[in-house]
Amino acid sequence: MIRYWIVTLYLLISQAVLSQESDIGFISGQLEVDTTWDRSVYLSHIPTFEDQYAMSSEMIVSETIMDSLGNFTFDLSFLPTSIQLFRIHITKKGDSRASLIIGGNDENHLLFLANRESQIKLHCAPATPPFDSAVFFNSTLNNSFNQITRTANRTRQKASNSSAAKRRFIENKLREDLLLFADTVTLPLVSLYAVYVSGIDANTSEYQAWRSSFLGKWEKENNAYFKAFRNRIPGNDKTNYLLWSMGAFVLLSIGFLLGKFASSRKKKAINSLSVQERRVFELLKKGVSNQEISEECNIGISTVKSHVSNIYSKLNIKSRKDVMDF
Amino acid sequence: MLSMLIVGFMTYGQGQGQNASQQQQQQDPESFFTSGREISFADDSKGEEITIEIEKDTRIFELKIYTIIEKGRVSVDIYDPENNRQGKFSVGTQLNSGKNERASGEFSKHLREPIAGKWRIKISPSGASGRINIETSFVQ
Repeated sequence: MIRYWIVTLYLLISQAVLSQESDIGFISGQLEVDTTWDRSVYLSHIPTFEDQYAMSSEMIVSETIMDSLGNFTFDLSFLPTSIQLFRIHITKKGDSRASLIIGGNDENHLLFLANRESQIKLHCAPATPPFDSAVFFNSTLNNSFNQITRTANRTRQKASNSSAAKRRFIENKLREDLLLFADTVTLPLVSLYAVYVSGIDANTSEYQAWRSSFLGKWEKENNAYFKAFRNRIPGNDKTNYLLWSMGAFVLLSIGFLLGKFASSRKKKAINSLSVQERRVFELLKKGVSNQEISEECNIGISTVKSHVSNIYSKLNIKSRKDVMDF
Repeated sequence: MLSMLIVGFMTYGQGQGQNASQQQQQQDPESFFTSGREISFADDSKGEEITIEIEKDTRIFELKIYTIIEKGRVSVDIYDPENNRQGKFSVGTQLNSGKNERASGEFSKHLREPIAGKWRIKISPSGASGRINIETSFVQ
């Protein structure tokens, strides 16, 4: 009886341990590369899509060695629960661990999405560049994600070998396809990645309406990837808004103070006029001629001229127009 | 401080009237030109822009940019004559790590019938020490 309970207890504990182990996230893969490549494989965290072509050893979160058959595994159990962007890369022998090759036959990296629960299997058949034939198993998310990379890489390669005129058509078609994909896919980071790969420049007005609609669709997405994208769009950056508002306030205040200062100077200048000069000044402002002023004030023309001259001098102006604008 | 130094400079094109040290191979009926530049910087934060003039009848253009950094960070942006960004990358070392480390980035692009005009390579270092090699090849 005791033996029965011990066996049962052992089986229960084993099952619990096994079930716990099976929940641990990982990415394992097989990579068949030639001898010019080092056997180390690196896993980097990419904090925003802006950084997908950034390389620094600070970004490397894990490192492992491929076995003789090219098999490698990364434990992902230390990752956060939210889906994040990662990059696997390998290096040429003798290169620094933080080396990134973009384009050409030696492109050395592959992007993918994961969190601590991801259990991803990757297979890369012999190809040039090494990750060109990458296929993900058990991951719909990464199959969609990788589909974008592969489609874009292949189409751009085709475009680069086409004539300039044809290239424009191919690139435009790719952009439209990627934006359509971004519009219809239900996975937010995959959708955002398609937008980045499409190359629509956040600073041009051409796709402004499209971007607004895109951001409206994903307005609840508040992760670093969407925040970085929102910040690229003029008018979407809250810091910029604040700076603009502060700038406008400062300019308005300066304008108000300058206006007040000018008005006070004018008032002071008018107060410096004699009673008669002030009367002449009011008539000048109405556009009245010297003759009419003479008749109105019952003074001679020469006296009017003398008052006008004094007014010009005291108010530091040069003409009747200046009087009317004063 | 602002000591960006062009230590190697080779240019392409007989008509350009520039350096005689250009590496040029003539393969009739096509002309094949290659050129290379090396830019070194030491604790540098001053941006630099390199222009590459592509003539109208250029059939193939190949651009390779290789950057190696021992300190700081450098970003490289590549623009075509229509101001469309054709590529970008950045490499950096860990801040205040105190260790000897290197980071490198390599970018390559191959284009048939590239847009003629001035292609710009914008280099933005930030307290960076290292070097950048720019290699260009043209078939006309």
